[in-house]
Amino acid sequence: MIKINELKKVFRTEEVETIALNNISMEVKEGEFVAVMGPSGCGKSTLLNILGLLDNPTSGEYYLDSKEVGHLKEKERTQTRKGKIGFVFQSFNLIEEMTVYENVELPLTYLKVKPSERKRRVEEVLRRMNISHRAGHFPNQLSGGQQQRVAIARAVIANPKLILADEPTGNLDSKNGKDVMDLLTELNREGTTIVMVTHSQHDASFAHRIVNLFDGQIVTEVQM
Amino acid sequence: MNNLKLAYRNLFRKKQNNLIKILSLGMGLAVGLVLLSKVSFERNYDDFYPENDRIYRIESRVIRNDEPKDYGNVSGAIAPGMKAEVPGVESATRFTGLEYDGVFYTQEKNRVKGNIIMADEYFFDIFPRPMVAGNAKETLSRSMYALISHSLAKKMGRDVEGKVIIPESYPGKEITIGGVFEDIPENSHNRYDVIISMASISQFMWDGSNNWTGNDRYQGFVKLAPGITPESLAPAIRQMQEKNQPLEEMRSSGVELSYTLAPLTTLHSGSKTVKNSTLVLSIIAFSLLLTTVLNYLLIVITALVQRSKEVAVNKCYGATRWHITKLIATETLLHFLLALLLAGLLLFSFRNTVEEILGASLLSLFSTKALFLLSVTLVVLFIVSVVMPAATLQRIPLATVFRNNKRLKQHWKLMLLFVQFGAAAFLLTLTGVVSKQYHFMVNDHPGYDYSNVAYITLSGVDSTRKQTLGIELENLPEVEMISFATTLPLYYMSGNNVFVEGNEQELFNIADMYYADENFLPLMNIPLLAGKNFSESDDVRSAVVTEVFRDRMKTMVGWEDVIGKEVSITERNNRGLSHIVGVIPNIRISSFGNQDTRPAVLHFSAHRRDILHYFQDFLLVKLKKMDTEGMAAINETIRQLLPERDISFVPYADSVVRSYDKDRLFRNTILIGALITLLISLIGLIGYVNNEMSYRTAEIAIRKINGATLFDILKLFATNILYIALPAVGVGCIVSHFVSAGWMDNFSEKWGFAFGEYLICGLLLLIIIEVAVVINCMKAAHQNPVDSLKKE
Repeated sequence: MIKINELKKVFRTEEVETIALNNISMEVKEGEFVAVMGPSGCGKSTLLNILGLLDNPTSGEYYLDSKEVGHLKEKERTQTRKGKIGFVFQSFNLIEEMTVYENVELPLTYLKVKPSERKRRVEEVLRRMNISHRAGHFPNQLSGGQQQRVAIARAVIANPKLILADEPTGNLDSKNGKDVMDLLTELNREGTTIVMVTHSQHDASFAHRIVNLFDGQIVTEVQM
Repeated sequence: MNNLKLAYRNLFRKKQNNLIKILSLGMGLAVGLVLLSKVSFERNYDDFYPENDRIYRIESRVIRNDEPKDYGNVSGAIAPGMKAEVPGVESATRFTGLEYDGVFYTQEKNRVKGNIIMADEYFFDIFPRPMVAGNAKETLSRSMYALISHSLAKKMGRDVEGKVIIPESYPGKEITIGGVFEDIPENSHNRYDVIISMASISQFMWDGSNNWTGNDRYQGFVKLAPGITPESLAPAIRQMQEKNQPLEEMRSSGVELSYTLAPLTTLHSGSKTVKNSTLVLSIIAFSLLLTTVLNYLLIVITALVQRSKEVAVNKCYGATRWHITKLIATETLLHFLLALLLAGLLLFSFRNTVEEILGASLLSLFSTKALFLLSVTLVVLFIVSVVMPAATLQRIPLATVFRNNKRLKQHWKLMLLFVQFGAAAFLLTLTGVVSKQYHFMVNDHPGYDYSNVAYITLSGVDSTRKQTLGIELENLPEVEMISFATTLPLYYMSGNNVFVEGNEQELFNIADMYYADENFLPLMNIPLLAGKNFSESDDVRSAVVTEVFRDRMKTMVGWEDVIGKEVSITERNNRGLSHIVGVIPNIRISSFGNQDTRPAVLHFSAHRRDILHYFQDFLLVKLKKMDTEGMAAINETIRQLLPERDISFVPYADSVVRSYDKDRLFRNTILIGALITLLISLIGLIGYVNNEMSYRTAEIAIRKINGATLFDILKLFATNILYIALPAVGVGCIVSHFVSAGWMDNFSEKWGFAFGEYLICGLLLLIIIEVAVVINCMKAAHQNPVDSLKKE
């Protein structure tokens, strides 16, 4: 599903050059659940941004579904990302002006899915996430756990092959955190590939494989 | 639809400052757009007449002493002559003013006011108006018939056709209403409510309507055939002149007369005053709209960081540039619509003030052409307001959005603030210059003293009653002196030409003040530089002249002294030579905006003897003290002696102020523009400072922990703003200097700003800016640093 070779990402300012990823190579198979761990500033989020086509690497190759996508232009990245990748963020990143229903519906509108089909799918995923009763509410009316379930619903609504989760339980208490991890595990069981960045050893234990990063390099890979 | 729903919800979102955005946008659009409409109004005078591009006014060009001068008036026979003798002239008409704001009575003895002109039967061929009743051509062909405007007809009641009106100044002259025409739009250089047929002219004045020379009181207009240019008619016009006018005779008296054609649509908009004023108004409107939009952008861009995550999420799920632009465009559209609604409400609420200041009704201001201009302007402003935030949002890298991205680049915001401060400085100093000019114009000593003087117009009152009135007023204890005069120095004078005996050559054109009695000079406190004042022993040939007259005679004829000398003055030839008895200083005739600088001559007419003959319609009264009691006393006398007239004395000083009404209103327009711009700039500044404070909370806390005092923190922010404000204010003052210089070209005397005054204005603005910064920084600067760091 994902293959990266000698991937390098360098951030440059006028005076300083920071190597966020230093020639890393890895592979994620379809249906795999991979946790990326490491201390702050080791390059976890940078890796996730590149995998999610939110950013381009400075050098190296990135194959998504056997297609080289590492050096696409923004417009091409948007097209490639659409419907293929779902995102779950630590701070949920729900759109405040949109109701739960509209937040979840968002990816389908950009995929130009018909309104009747959108309605069916949104209702189904909300039922599945157990938040149908909150469909008309706005994010600020929900608890943190509920917000993250909405974010996951939004991430899966388009049936993406890949979900990228950046510390999905970072802002949740243990109970809500567990619920979220259960959801991700369930999605993975259904065939969705998941790459999750986390600081939590407990969360990482849900993954098939843990990749440890340090100073922009993969130091260990542990099969669970 | 979805975007519109989101835009609506976003209105109520915190930290987006939507209320401020819409309020400042609404205020700015209200003033900016109304100023633009005023510019459009002024630039499109007379464009409502069909085929106006083929209508021209006949202008006479007089070259005397190698000095060419153009006049808008011609002799009565010129316009019909052109129609008859110049091929290419499709139609021609002539008209003359009878009374501006004249009073006349209806059959029911109701008193009605309006502008009265006299025109020939071809008038509507060139200036057609839809007829509500009657036939224009037929009415204007019949003696003592008139057309009246629809609004006047409504004031007079229903079915006015066939009814009779009598002008107050011409008692007994009954005029029958033959038709009613649709009102003349406000942007017409010629406004009239009553058109009396030219065939009636001999009933009101000496009939010179068919004269080829002299009596040039008529305005002549021609309509050219399609494709004919005015230049191509010059030879034919010259031929007409040679056939009908004594050109040789004129040449031998030193005068060369010719005619040119001026396009109707440039008569108003082509004048220097209108050009200057509309240029300044355009600049103000532009500055105001620019400030408004920049302020909007400043607030939007400042708050963009809060939107960046939302946009990034959209992009994560497939939103393209177009989707994001549509999102921003919908929000901006909603803001613009609400702001326009607010602007409309503001204009409607302050309708009377706006109409008074701009001198036109809102309905006229927002004409089709103006609305087109405003729509284009709004579209441009809208596009700018969409493109900049959308482009800024697109530029934020997606990967950084989800990190702690709290701040966008500063240079945009600082540039926007720079322009806003510059515009505020420009408009404030311009207001200062215009106010100063206005103050001096109104208060400048005109060479005579009118402080306790009041006057009244007695046109149409017979001589005996005038004399009785004069005697009664003189006997009042409140009255110091009275005087009768043909005209007042408030007005631009009629012109006549001066000759000396034995020389056929015209020397120069004078401002003819016609007649006044022996009290006029002492009443107006006009000193004599040489000779003596009028006395009972003088006659109608006795004249006093101004200093510039004396100097001109010295240069042209070599007279060392004019006292005792005699000159011939046209229009007065039949009364013999004028005998100069005194010289007075050059007094200001008319206003600074239209000052009559020609040499002036005033003839004597003792009010007890000659009043009947010389139209001395102005009765001046000098009160011992200008107060309400004094005014009440003289007005009561008028009421008793002229009970049928609804007239009262006007303090001369009020008329002087009124003669600068346009300038006062212009000053007020700029003042409003300046205040709104300043307000909007301050709103932008406060928004910017608040935003900066929230971004720099941690920095402030760390500075305080390391020993910075409250003063140090305030200084930090005040200095940062000063770096922007100082050059911006400087640029604004410089632009203001040049723009105000252009505007002051309208006046014969100028009171511009000295460097020090610009400096004071600039400093004042800087102080306002800095005070706003300090007040807004105070709260954050006072905050406990530990709390600030915890929040971070």
